[in-house]
Amino acid sequence: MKLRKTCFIYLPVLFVLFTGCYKYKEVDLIENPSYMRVFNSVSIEPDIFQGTNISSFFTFLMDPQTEEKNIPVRSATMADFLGTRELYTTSYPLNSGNSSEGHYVVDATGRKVFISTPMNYEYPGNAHVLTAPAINGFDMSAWAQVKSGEHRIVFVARPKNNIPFPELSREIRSTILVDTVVNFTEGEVYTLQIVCRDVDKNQFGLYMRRETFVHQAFEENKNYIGFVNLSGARPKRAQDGYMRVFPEKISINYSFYTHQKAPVKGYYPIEGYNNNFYKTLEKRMDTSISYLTVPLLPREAFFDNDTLRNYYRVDIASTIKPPPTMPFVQFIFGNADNPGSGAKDYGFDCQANGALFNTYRYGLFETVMPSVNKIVSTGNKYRIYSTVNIMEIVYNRVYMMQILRGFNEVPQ
Amino acid sequence: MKLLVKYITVCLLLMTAACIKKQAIPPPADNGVASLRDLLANNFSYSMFYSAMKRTSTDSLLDNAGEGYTIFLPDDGAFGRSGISRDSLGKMKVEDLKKLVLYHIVAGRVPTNSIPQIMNHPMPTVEKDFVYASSTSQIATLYINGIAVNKQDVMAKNGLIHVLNQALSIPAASVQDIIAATPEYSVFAAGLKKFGLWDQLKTGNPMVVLAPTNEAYAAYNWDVEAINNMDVREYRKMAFGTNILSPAFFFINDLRIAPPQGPFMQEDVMLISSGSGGGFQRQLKVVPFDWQSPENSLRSVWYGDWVFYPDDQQGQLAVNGVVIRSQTLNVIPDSAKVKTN
Repeated sequence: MKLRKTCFIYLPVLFVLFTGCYKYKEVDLIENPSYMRVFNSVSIEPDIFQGTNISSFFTFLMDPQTEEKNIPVRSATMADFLGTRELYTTSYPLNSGNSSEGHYVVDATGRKVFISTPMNYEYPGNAHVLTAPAINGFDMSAWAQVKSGEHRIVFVARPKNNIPFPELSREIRSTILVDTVVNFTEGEVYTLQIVCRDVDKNQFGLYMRRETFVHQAFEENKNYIGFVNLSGARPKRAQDGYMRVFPEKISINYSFYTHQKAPVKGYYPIEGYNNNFYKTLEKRMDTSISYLTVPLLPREAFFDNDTLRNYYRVDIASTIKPPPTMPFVQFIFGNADNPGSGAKDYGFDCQANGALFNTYRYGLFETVMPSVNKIVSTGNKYRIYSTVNIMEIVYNRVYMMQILRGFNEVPQ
Repeated sequence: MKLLVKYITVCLLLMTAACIKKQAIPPPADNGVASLRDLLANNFSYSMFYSAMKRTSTDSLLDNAGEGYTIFLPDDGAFGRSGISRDSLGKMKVEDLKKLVLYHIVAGRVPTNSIPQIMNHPMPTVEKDFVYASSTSQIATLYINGIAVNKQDVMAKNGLIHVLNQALSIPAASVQDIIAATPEYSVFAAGLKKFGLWDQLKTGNPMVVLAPTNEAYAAYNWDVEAINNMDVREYRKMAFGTNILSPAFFFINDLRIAPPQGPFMQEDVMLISSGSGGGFQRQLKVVPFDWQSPENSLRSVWYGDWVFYPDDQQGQLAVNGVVIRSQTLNVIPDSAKVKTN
């Protein structure tokens, strides 16, 4: 009797437990992988006077299945709804989490601008694919594994709606902007970007960089920062002085400031890091990066009596905001073709909190960028990491890619 | 007692007014079941286009059973807005009318979401000439040759209808032909010939011609005779040259959906648009290159004032460009005079 009662209770429970299981198929391993990350570094809107006729919203396809006339249909490696990349990216996917509030950026008036259509800022981003392991001590989870060898790379302009690429009309799928073949070497890390070659003529191209930071030796107590210029031909509007873009040849100087209480409360440059010349970017689409270094400062520079110092608060639009006290690297850009034409053409301070930065977008020519030191609160204490940063200048924007050392093996 | 009756009557009246009057629920629309012919024949507001189709015997397209057709259909209101009455449509030559009707029809089903979101995307019509579709991610409206589609994607079993705000017109062979054939551009045409700008309108790059009417010139006492008698050396070429924008291809509504973010450069002057926001995008003005310099900051008029281009004048399409009617001059004759000290 007791057994019957027990069976009566437990059997259904066991039944539910066993039938409730769902065994997900394990993703097949990729043999001889290379690692790839894809960005859309185009930021244009249609302009009828200049003849620009598309918006920067694309689909990226690798080795697509095609139908007649070589029109792509679908592919296993695809980044649909690929919008313009965010200004700040890390070496792990930033948009992997979900927001219960939806997708938005906050403009200068404090208004939330919602993005109502699906949107990816990069590939793989939050796609469910195999990603790269930690290489050279860096967390590389923002790079996807792909088979090494030759691949066809296609970028197609797509409308901003919620229709997935394979279901779009043939006519839309045939508006191919970039169609090329690339070769990936086994074990190498590649960053691919669609860039404008000529805005006025609606010409686009692929910029592919084999990342060398996975082979270089980096000191753990230094921050590394490198610049590349990925602008295409100078737009006519910029030549005529109606669009502000970075100069053709960019000279870059940098300083490193800390906040001190004496002699007068304020920022002072660290000795040896006051307005140093870094380099002049003569070439465009350069694939090798030379880094400048600034030291990883001791803990006191980031804390004031054990309290974390203030970032520059990008999340407060009003002019009244807590004064920043965090150390920061400042960059000043000049026109190398016409030096001395102005004391300071343009510059920015790396002084903001990267975690908030992409949400608060006030306009072009940011005067503040995220801090080069990544500060993470974990295990009941703040940890400060030194990073490697690649700054990519595209016409009037600077995209910052911050590569972090693996979190488990970082310096304290 | 009487008061009570009154009170009750008023209350009852109020109660009847408070009733929810449920409307009869219409049966759900049977999308995609009707054929194109059913839709055209049974919809009174499509009657002008349908009768034109019947008159030109092109209505057999409505019975196709294949891939189908997409009709950019001007309804009766749209014909009215384009200045075409039932009468004038009836008096058109059958060949011309047939061309016009077929210019509104594209082979295959082309729903809005299958058209690339780009500016002036060409689509071949059954008549062989192209219609140009513009749409952007910012604005949900689709524009055909600058004309708004009022109702998108009316589905039929064998095709699709987009209802236009105005009727389309068949593209002319060249921009020059449009100007030569339009009497109200005769002064403009005379000026272009005088300044040696006439021949470029026949061929060449795509262009947009802002054509002032004779009335606009008359305000400054310019007519054909005055222009023929004028000394070319006394005026800068821009008196007429600023009316030709090349290379460019746009309709007036394109200024709204793809607002210019900078000026359009001419030889020695440039055209600016009044920027985004409100209805003011459809204004253009001719200014010198240094119009933004501090000493000019208080000045608002240089060679002419803003010229406003109304919505109902989207521009006449030619194979090599668009002619847009303008009722005022963008360069006042006096300001184009060569100054001698």
